[in-house]
Amino acid sequence: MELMDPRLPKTTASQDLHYIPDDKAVFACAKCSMVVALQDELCSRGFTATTGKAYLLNSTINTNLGKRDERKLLTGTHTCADIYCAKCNAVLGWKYIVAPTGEQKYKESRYILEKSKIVKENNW
Amino acid sequence: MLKADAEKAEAPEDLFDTMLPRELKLLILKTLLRIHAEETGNGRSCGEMNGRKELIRLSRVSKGWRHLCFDGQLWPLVELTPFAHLIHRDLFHSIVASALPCVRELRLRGMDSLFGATLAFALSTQDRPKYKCWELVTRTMWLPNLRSIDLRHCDSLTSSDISIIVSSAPSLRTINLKGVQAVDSEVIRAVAKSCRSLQCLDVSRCWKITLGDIVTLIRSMDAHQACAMQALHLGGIKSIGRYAGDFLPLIARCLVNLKTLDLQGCTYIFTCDFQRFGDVLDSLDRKSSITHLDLSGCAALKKDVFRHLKGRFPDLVKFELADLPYLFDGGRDEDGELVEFLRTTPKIQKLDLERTGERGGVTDRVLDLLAYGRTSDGDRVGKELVELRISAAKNVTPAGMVRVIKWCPNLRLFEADDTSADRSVIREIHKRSHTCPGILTVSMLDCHAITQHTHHSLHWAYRVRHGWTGWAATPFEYDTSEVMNTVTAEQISANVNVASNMMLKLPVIKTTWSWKDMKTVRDWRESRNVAELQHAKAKGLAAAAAAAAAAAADGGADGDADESAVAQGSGSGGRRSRLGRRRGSAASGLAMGAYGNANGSCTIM
Repeated sequence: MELMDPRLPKTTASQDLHYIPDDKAVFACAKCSMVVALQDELCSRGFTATTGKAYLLNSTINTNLGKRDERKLLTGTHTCADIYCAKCNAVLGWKYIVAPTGEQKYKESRYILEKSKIVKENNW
Repeated sequence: MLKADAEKAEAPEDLFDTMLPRELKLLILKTLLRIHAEETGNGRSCGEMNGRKELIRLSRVSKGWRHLCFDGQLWPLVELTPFAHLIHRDLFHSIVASALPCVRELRLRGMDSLFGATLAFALSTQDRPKYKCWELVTRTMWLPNLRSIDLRHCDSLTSSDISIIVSSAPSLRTINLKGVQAVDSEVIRAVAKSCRSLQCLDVSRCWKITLGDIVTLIRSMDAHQACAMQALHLGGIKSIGRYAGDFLPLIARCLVNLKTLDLQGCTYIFTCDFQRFGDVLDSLDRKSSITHLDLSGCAALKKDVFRHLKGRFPDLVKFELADLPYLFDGGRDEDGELVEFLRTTPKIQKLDLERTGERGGVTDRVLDLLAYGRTSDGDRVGKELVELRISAAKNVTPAGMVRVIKWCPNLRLFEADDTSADRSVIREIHKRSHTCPGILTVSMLDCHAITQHTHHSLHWAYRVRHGWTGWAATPFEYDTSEVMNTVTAEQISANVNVASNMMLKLPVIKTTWSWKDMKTVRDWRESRNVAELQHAKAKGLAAAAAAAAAAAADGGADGDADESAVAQGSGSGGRRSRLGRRRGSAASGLAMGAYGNANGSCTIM
């Protein structure tokens, strides 16, 4: 269409994000409302982050991983990587990559999402 | 010359194009779509979406076929979200422009590169708009049959684009603009002016609008429009100005048929607003028709709000009051107010009180009311209770939880994280899972009384997650045991007393220990790529499998080679998208090879 500006993007969506049916109970990014996790994947509610309460989740969707670094947390020195929302790049929490002791091994490859950065949607 | 005649005589006659009337051709294509919709599988576009992809591929045969495949009768619902990242804007233009007169539902969720200019040209009724400026083109937009529009995550549209789309579709019933940051008062004014039969409006987390805009919207509605309104989702809405206090009384007076009111996270709703709400209902001698009320996170509410809610919502089915830890403060008899309110809602099915009982308020009295309490008319209150969430409730005892699980016949989901739940609750669930007709989901995370020993004494089969099948479930990597919700008696231990041919439903039990035993899943993009590869291999599409493996190796989240055919603009065969260029000529060869024969001609029919 010669009337359309050739500088406009060629495809209708810029990223291949994941969408799940609208009847599932989910957690969404507080800033852009993108679904980031299922409520079904919640492992624990008893974690604490810098901004307050945080949830431990088995998996997330529509997230990007940041750089790995060693962090000194309440339970020891863990190797973590920040988690960003794939759509708006807001920092949502972090992912545990290596946990120090055997007690903490269950956290490895699981995600922490800070409660203040996400919104619970029951979709009832 | 004889040879030429002989060749002409041998060429197959194309009966499809010449003999069949158009309606029959459309019927054949509709049947093709139906056959695809009945297939199931874990591939990216299994089912309905595969049918749509096929239709787009078929449209490249000839101009006649293109006109046929994009006929409005085949596209009453335009939903291109699963492959929105591959659809070229010309293809989008073709689909939407030809579906224009018949389209009933436009689901453009996730199309964040869709600019107003592209959409305006697609929705314009003129074939070749004379105007160079697209703003003038928008004056020719007219969508009389459009009933529902979903523009979530369309970040490139401006508020004037959205207002124009809304104004050009007068019979819109459902508008979903959740999280669309461009929505502001201009859009609400456009909705107020042109949507005569609006039933559902979702503007949650649109940070630019306020309660004052919604008040203007409701005030501008006449009686017919106000009666049509059924659902209003206003999560997170702010409030500036003196009109906001009129919001709830206005709802009571005008929106008589409102079924869903979602005010999640709205910190500007006060108890006095509900008092005025109640006063208006009293003066009109009416009860509210709201069946789903969401007041989670409305931090400005105090515990005397229940006095004003009591008796006003006789049809309340779903009530969300989560995340209000400061609502109760451990004072005397504060649970009485909640109990009296719930006594007036016998039809309650889903109740979410997560974290609200952190300092008191949610006690055994509330649970006993749901277990065997009765209304003033003698109706059982909890007889239809399906879902109950009381996480972090401080004053709830295991005995109370046992009673609720025992006496609510329809209970399916019970969430009691961070409470004093212990092995007696687990025993009751065990007993219940035999008699419960549906799947029982129980969540008892962070409960300190449930030790590893208690957990390991669960010697019957259970699963940790509620699995389901399909492309949407691929990032979670569900096992067959998590998806199948039945198990034969042979598969569980002999301690359970069942008949040998009885099928049991596997309950979902979540405790800290059950999660520790579970394996973790890969990154969501990796899981999807692996699932696509497996699906392609299973279908026997060797070429597609090779391409999918190449895609996974590429490191991108692109689809398989067939997708690149979709990505090419339908108008110009020579122009390739970014994806097509990367794969090179192999892509188009694969695309044709899947459906045609070696010399490239199409032999579908």
